[in-house]
Amino acid sequence: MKKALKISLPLLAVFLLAAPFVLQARYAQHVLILILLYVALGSAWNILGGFAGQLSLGHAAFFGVGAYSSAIIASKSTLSPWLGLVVGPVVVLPVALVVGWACFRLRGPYFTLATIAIGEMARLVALNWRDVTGGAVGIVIRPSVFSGTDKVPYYYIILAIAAVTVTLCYRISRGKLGYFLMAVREDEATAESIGIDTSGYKLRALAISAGITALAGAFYANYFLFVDPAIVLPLALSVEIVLMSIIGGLGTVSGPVLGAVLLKLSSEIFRNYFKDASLLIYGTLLIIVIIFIPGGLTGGLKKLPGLRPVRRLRAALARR
Amino acid sequence: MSLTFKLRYLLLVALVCAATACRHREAAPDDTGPIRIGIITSLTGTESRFGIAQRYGYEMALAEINGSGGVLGRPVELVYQDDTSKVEVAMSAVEDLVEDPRTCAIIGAYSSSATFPSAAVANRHRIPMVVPSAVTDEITRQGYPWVFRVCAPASVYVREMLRFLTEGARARRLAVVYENTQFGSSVAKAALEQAPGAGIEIVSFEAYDPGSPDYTPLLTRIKSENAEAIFFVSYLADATLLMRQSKEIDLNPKVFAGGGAGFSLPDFLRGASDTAEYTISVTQWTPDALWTGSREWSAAFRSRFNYDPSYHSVQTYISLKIVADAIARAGSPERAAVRDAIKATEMDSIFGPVRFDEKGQNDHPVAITQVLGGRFVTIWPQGAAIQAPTLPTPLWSERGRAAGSGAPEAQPAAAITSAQKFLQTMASGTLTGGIYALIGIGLTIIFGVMRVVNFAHGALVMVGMYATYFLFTYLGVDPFLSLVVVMPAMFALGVALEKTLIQSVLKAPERNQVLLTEGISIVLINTALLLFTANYLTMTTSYAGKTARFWGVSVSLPQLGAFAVALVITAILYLFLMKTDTGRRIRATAQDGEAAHILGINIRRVQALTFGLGVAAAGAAGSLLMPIYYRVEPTAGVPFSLKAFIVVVLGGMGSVTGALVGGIVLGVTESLGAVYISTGYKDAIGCVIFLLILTLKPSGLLGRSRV
Repeated sequence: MKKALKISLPLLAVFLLAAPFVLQARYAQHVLILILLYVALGSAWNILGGFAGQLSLGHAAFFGVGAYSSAIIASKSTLSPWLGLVVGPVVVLPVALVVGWACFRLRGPYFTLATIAIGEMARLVALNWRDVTGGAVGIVIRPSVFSGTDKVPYYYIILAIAAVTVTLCYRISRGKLGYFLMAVREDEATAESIGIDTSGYKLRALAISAGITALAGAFYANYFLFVDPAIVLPLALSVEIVLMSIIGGLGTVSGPVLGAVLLKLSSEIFRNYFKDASLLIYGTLLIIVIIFIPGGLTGGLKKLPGLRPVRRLRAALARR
Repeated sequence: MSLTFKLRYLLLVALVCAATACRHREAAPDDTGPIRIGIITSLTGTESRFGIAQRYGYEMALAEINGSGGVLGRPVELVYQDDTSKVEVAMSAVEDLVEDPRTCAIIGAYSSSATFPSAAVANRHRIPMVVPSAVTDEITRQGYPWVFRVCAPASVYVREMLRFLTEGARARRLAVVYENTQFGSSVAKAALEQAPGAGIEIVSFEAYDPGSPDYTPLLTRIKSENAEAIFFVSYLADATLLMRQSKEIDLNPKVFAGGGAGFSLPDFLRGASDTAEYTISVTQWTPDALWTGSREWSAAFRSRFNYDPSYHSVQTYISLKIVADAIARAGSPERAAVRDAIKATEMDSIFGPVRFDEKGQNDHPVAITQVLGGRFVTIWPQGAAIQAPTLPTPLWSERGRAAGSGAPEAQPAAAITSAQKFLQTMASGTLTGGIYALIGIGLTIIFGVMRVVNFAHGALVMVGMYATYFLFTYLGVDPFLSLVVVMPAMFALGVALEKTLIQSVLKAPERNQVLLTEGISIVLINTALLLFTANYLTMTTSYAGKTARFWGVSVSLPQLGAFAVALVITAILYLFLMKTDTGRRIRATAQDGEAAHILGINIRRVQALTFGLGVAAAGAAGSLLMPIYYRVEPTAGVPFSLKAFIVVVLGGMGSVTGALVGGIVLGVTESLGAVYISTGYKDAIGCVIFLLILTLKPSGLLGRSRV
C-alpha cells in the first residue's frame, strides 16, 4: 500500500504539473481549472459535511463572500483583486461563526433547511445591496498581474489551492480533529457525554471549510473576471458541491477528488454531446448512485477504525 | 490494495480527460475558405423568443450577402453559439469563438446581462464585437476599443420616453417598475437620473425578481402612490402578468408605458391579449419606420419566415451587414483590420444611418408605439407618427363598452385610502397564502410519516401545472374541473415514485434522501425542458382577470376560487386523517412506526399512500395556480420549493393545521413586506422568519409537530 502510493503519487504530480503543456487547447485548460476548483470545493465541503456529518446546502454563501471580496476590492479601490484570496477567508470567518451559532443547534433536516435559507439570504443581499455589490448587474473585474487571456498561470494557482486542500483533508482525517469530528457524526450524544466539546469541533470544521470555500471563490472571481448573484450564489452551486462529495464517497479524502473529476468531466462531455439532455443524464446518474451505491464510488463514510468509535476515541484522548 | 486501485483509477480518469480535451481542433488561418463570423444569441432558455427573432435577422442578411457573391469573393459562414440565456455560457462562447483564428468578428449576445461581461472578454482577446441589442449603458461606458453597439442604449430609451410623457401625454407623476437585472436596472437608473431635468416626479421606484408568480402587492403599492404613468421595464412573461394583474386590481394610470423588450414583441399581444391594448412602448424600429426600404424589407421578412418582424430581427440583420461591409472595406478578414473598418463605418440602412462615435456607440434614434386594435402603431416622435396616441388610457371598467363613443372622459384620480391599501394587502396575502398552504401540506404529511424532506416538491407542482395546461388547451377542461383528473394521476405518480425510488432510501441516512429527491427534481425539470422547451406556455380562462369588489378592495375571482378549493382540500385531508381508519393508521405510523408495525399496520402501504397523498396535494396546487398565473415553464415550481419548506417549518413539521396557518402567515407577511417595506426584500423577509422560527422555536408556531 505504501509502495503503491510511492509510485502513483509522483506520477500523478508529474502529470498535473505537465498538463498545461500537454494540453494547449484553451478549452482543455479551462476544464482542468474547473475540475481543480471543484476538487478544492468538494474537499472543503467534505470536512464539514463528510467528516462531521453536517449536511450543509449553503456553501454557495461562503463561495460568494470570497468572490465578492475580490470583486469589491477591484471595483472600489485600486488594489489588486488577488488580495481577495486573503480578504475573502478573513471576512468569511465571522459569517461562518454566526451561521454556526444559528444552525448547529439544529439536527438533521432542520440543519440542512437552515443552511439553504442562509445561502438564499446571501443571494438576496448581493442582489439588493446595489451600492456595494452592483446588484443584478454584477461586477466586471479588470485582470490584474496576469493578462486574463492565458490560462496557464491560473491553472497553477488553482492546482496549488487544490493540492493544499487535499493534503489538509488527509492530515485532518488521520489526526485528532478528524477522530473528534467522526465521533460527532456517528453519535453526537455519546461524544458529548465523554467530554468532547462537540459544538467547538463542529465550529472548527465549519471555519476551515468556509475559509477554503471563500478562497476558491476569490480565485474564481480573478479567473472568471465577472461576478453576479446568479453565477456565484445560486443554490445549484451548493447542491453541486454536495453531489460530487456524495458520488465520490462521503467522509473519505479521495471521494470528493474522484467525484469532482468525474462529475465535472462528465458534465462537460454531456454538455458538448447531449446539449439539452445533459442535466437529465446528470440527475439520472445521481439517482442511480444513491440507490445502488449509497456509499459513493470509494465506499464512503469510513467508520472509525477499531471496534467502537468511543473506545477508539478514549485511546486517542489517552495519548494526548 | 484498494488505495492502489483508487490511484490507478484517478490516473485513468486523468488520461481520459486528457484524451477528451486533445480532440479540440487546432486550425491555422487560411485565406481560401469561407469567412467566419461568430454569432452568440439565446436559441434556448428563457430568452429564446428573442434569440429566434435575432436568428431570422442573421439568416436574412446572410442570404443577401452570399446571394450577391459573398465578401472578398468568399462566402460568409456564421458560427452560431447558443448561450442558453445564461451569462457564463455567453462568456465561454466568446472564448470558444476566439480560439478559432479564422473567426474574424463576433456579433452578440442577446441580453444585456450576457453581453456586458462578454464584451469584456472579447475586448481582452482583441476580437471585434458588434453588439446588436443589449441596451445597458455600462457596455459603451467602459471604453472598450474592440466593442461597437448598433442599438440605442438605455439612456436614450429613457430620454425619449420622458419627453413623450411630458410633451405627448402630460403626465408628471411617474412610477418606475423594473426587473432586477442588468437590463432592468440600467433603464431604471437612467430614469432616476433624467427625471428631475425633465420635470418629472418619480413617486415609486420598485425592483422585482423576474419570474415572480404574483405582482399584486407590488401593484397595490403603486396604486396607493397615485401615479399618472407607470414605466415597466420587463421581459415577456412578466410584462404579460403585470398587465393582467393591473387589470385585476383595477389600477388605472393615465399611461401604461413599457421599456421595450417584453412590451414590444408580437408574442406580448398574444400573451397579454386584451390587456395589451393601449400600452405604449419604446422601440428601436418599426415596420412603418421612415427609413428607406424598411417597408419592403418587412414584407420580404414576413413572406420568408411567416413571422412579424420586430426590432430584434432588424438589429441583427444590420449588425451582420455592418461586419460584412467592414470586411470588404478592410480587404482582409484580419481582426485588427476589421475593427478599424467597423470604426469607420458610414452606412444608410433600413435601421437609419449607422456611424460609431469614439466610444463605439451608434447614435440611433428610438420611437414610441402604442398597441391600438391589437397592433403596434408608431405614435411618437411627431415626424414619424402614423396615428395620434389614445390617451389617457381608458379605465378598465369602461373598456369594451360601445366602442367609438368618443374620447374617453378625463379620469378622476383613482387613489385608494390607506385603510383600503391595508385591506388589499391582507386580502391578496391571504389568498396567496392559501396556495402556499396546500403545497406545504403535501410536504408536511410526507415528512410527518416518512421523515423525508421532499426536495422534489416544487418540481411536482410544476408537473401538475403542465397537466392542467394540456387538459385545458387540448381538451378544454376547466382548471378547477381538471383537479378530478390531476389529483388521482399525481397520486399514482407519487405511489410509483415511492415504490420504485423513495422506499429504498427510507432507512438510509437523511442526506441520501435529500439527494435522491433533489435528483428526482433535476430529472423532472429537465424532462419538462426537453419535452416542452424553456419557453413558457400561457393559457387564458374565460374568467381570467374577473374581479369582485368589497369595500374598495378588488379580489381576483380565480384567486378567490383557488383559495376556497385549497381550503376544502385541506379540510377533507384533515377529516380523512382524523376520522377514517386509514387516517388513523397513517397517524399511528407517524407517531411510532415500529409500534404501528407490531400492531399489524402495513407500514409500506401507509408510506406509499402518504407519499401519494402529498404528491396529489402538490399537483392540486399546480392546477389551482394555472388560472392565477396563466403560465407554466419547466422551472415554474422552483420558487415554491423553498416556500413550502418555510410554510412547513412555520407550522411545525408534520402538522396539517400548522401548514395551513403557516401558509397564510407566509403569504400575508410577504404581501405586507412587499407593500410597506420593499419588493426586493420580500423573499428575504420569508427567509428571516424561517431562520428565526427554526432557531428559536423549531417545533413551529403552533408548538406541536407531527401529523
